[in-house]
Amino acid sequence: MKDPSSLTQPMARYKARKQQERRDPLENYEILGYIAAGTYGRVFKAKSKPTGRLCAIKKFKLDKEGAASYYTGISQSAVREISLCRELRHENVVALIQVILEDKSTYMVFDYAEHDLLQILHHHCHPDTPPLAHFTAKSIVYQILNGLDYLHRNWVLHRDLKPANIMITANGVVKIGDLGLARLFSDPLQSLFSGDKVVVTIWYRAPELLLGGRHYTPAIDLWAVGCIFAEILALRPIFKGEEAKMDSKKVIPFQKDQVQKVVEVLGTPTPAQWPNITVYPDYPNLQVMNVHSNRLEKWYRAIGQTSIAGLNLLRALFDYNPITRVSAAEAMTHPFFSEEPRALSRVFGEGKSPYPARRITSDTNVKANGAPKRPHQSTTVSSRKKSKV
Amino acid sequence: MSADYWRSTQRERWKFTAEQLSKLHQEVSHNDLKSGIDDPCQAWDDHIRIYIYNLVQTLGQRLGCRRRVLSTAHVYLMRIFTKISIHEMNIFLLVTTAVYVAGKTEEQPQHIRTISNEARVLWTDYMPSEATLIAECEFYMIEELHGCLIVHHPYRSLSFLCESMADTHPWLVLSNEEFQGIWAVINDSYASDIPLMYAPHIIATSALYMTLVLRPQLIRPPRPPDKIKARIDVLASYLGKSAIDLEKIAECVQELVSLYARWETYDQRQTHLRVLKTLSLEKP
Ligand SMILES: Nc1ncnc2c1ncn2[C@@H]1O[C@H](COP(=O)(O)OP(=O)(O)O)[C@@H](O)[C@H]1O
Repeated sequence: MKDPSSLTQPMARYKARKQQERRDPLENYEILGYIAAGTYGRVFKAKSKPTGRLCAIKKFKLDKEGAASYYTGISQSAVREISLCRELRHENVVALIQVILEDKSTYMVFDYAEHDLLQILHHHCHPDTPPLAHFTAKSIVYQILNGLDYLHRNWVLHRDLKPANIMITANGVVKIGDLGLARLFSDPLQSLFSGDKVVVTIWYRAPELLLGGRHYTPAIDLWAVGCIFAEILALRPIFKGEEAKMDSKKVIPFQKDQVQKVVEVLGTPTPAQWPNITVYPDYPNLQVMNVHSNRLEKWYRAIGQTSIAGLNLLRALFDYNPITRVSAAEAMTHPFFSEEPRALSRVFGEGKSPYPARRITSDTNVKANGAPKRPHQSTTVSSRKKSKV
Repeated sequence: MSADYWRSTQRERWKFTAEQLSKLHQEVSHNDLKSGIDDPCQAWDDHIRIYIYNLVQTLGQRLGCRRRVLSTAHVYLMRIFTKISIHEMNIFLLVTTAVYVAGKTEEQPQHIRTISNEARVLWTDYMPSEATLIAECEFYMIEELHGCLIVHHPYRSLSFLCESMADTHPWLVLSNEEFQGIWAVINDSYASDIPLMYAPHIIATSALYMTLVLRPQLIRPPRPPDKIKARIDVLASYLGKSAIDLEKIAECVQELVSLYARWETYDQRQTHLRVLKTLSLEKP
């Protein structure tokens, strides 16, 4: 009654047919070079042979590095990124062109973005570069909000906004990238409490998460936008805390140093400002810390900023209370954006991008599964590690 | 996902008319013939379809999956069978993989070993023992689905509909039993191609109509018969005034009716034997 071949080779017929039809989809791309290693994989620059379009091909890491001799399940993160990117289409969200599953590996092909915000901020750290143009700074923030508003309207939380994930095309359009940690929040059944551990790179992590909250809301992304806005203005991260590592007992640690960095600028939060603060698990840890008063305005003046509207927007994004924190849609209508200079649809204005092109290395072997090479970027980049899921 | 069904891949790439579906199914059969399989047994065959539905349900119950996970798995399978034949892959493996992938999409992932083990317990003689085969099958599945994994289901539309009806007329407030009844009809619809053919809100509304108008006897009537008639009139006027495509509702209700007719004649044992034949046919 039963045939053993259906147990040992349960897909034989399917594979036989596919083999006849199949062409390696990667053959449609000319690999131009290697860009960087992310948390989940390696990214290559490529050109579509039929269309000439430039692409970034992200190859997901295999669970075990080394030769892929057998199939391992596709990671939750890859499933999220693939499934969400498939549905999302917006000017300010990086566009997924194709998903390729080949040779036991998963590849996502995106539109290529020549720059990312981290690279741009680094560029301005050199003493002999002119400052970041005001209109560019404002346009970048506006477009981040625009993309984020789209995500939030579609019930997607990004959860890992940071300069490295803000791509900018050569003609000056912001593309929010890296949806590997993104989650839907439309369905209460899909509990956002459980499952994965806290994410979001520590410097951009909202206070409700720092105090042990596990509930993700859009407000978490807006805090990160606040941090990015501040960083664009100051050209350095505003809250540059040291990450406390998980101890051997796998207890999620209280991020004391990060909290310290936040309260030194924004003041110690009080229940008057943030009524629910007392319910957070790490509130007692905050209470034993030194009390600070808010000196955001001083910080703002010290970096040479004068726009009161800009300061107010920053305050709205840094509202401690996640419930009253400004939403992306509200932030887009903030007076800061109706003040000169206006936000533009091309962040570099009419002219060409003043920034150097993304550096790539000559490694074009997209199929190799060896350990990723370190990206050729300054050391500060690699120090910005992202906490893993 | 994405609140926006109207711009979803489900609507833009995975919604078919009955003609389109039968054309796709024909192509699949044609492929079978080309590779020398002359067995009409296919996944869209009325009874095989119900059989597959039951497989998903059984595995899902064993694993304690949420309803959404199963519904999503059902849709993956239906989509897959517009492209591949039941003779090309071990159906037990395919069903297991669909539940595995749907669990990830719906953020209720289960370990591949757990799923593999449970499927082996249920289908000892038919389920391959290597968990890596599920991982391999997942690959093909996601590829066949073009990475379109997010599925919109009628459940949210149903909740919305209930609220809106309750706001419109006191007679349109649904009893708990009625709600459960509609919910069950929606679940049953996954034993057919209905989710490939109709938008979620159409399915929700059709299930509602089916439950309140065509099968009210199944639910203990909360009101005397004359009131039932009056209530149906209120419902009809409510639906008439809504912007919902009534033509589509009529079609979808018809599909539901014929699904229940098929279920009446469904014979699990005999269908099982037919499915086993597809397994033993499987030689390259
Ligand atoms: N669309 C793109 N165009 C150009 N470079 C990109 C693109 N997407 C990603 N990169 C580069 O690859 C790096 C890693 O990508 P990312 O998506 O953040 O991976 P991970 O999720 O693994 O961290 C980015 O920091 C960026 O430098």
